[in-house]
Amino acid sequence: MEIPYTVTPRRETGLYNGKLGIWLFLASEVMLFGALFSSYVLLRVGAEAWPSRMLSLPLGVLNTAILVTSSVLVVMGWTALKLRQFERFKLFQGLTLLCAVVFLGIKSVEYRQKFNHYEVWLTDKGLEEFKAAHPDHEKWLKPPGVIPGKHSLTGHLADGRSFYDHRKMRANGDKEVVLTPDSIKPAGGEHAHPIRLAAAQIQRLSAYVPAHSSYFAIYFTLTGLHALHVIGGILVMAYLWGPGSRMWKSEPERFTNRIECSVVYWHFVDFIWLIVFPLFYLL
Amino acid sequence: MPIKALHIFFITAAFLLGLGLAAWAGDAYYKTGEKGYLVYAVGSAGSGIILFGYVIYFWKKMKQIK
Repeated sequence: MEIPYTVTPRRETGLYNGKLGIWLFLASEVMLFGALFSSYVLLRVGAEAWPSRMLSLPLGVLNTAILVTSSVLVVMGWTALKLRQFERFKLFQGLTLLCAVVFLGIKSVEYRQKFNHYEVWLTDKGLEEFKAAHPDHEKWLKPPGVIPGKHSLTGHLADGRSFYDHRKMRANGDKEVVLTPDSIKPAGGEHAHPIRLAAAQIQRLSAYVPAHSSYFAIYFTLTGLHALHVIGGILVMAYLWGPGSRMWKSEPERFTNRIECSVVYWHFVDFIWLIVFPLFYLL
Repeated sequence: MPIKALHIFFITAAFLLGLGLAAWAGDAYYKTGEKGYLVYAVGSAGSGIILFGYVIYFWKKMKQIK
């Protein structure tokens, strides 16, 4: 039995099956991301302190440029199909896939950097001891950003481990941690020499993971969900670029419609990034 | 929404983001004097102009396609 309306639009909706399906799917996606963007707004408005400049702006800008480029390329691929230029379509679709993979690669680099980067909040007594032991402490002490009124130190653990925190420190019975702190003044300067912090001086220690703060919780949720959508887009577009492209020989119109649906989806994924980028990297 | 309109909508959003980033970076440069922000401001404004030119090109190109 032949399925109707895979190529020609249905009279009642003016859309063929695939296009109606992708728009209904995107409507549900709008609700999903809308809920998360609402959560971001509520968390931020309700927070006494909200961190800023926690992410790498160059990497964020680069990823934005890559996704915008990929949207242009994916439309050029669809245009090539409309003009019956199958080889050009293959080229543009391949380049789109390359952009998507590079985007994920850069995102994974960003994630890895966060998992190795720590913030340490000292107890009141520990802070006094730290200031007494390090007359140049102003170079390293970060203004309050997560816990209101609490200065902190940021940096890397000398042994380079990831996903360590104050709970594991206490459970392991570790007596101290060795931190290579970030220089705050001047910002982004070279790491200073490692400093030893006694376990008793540490109130809280966390990598830049979701448990660090509401900021990183919503950051990883939104960007992680977005990355999953990018992976989904890669799978679909790779199929249409590879084995699925055989349909072009037998049913070119239907294949072009499939590509059109993937283009609509890819624009949605990229549009979400255009909202995510300023929320986390600029504001 | 046809692809043509969707793509123009998306590129317009990217264009506005480029202008917004240019304004943000310009403001940061004004406040801090760091030359890196100036690079962002000029680069973003430049990319905004490129996107604007691309939308016009795309609009003309789409007239060839039914």
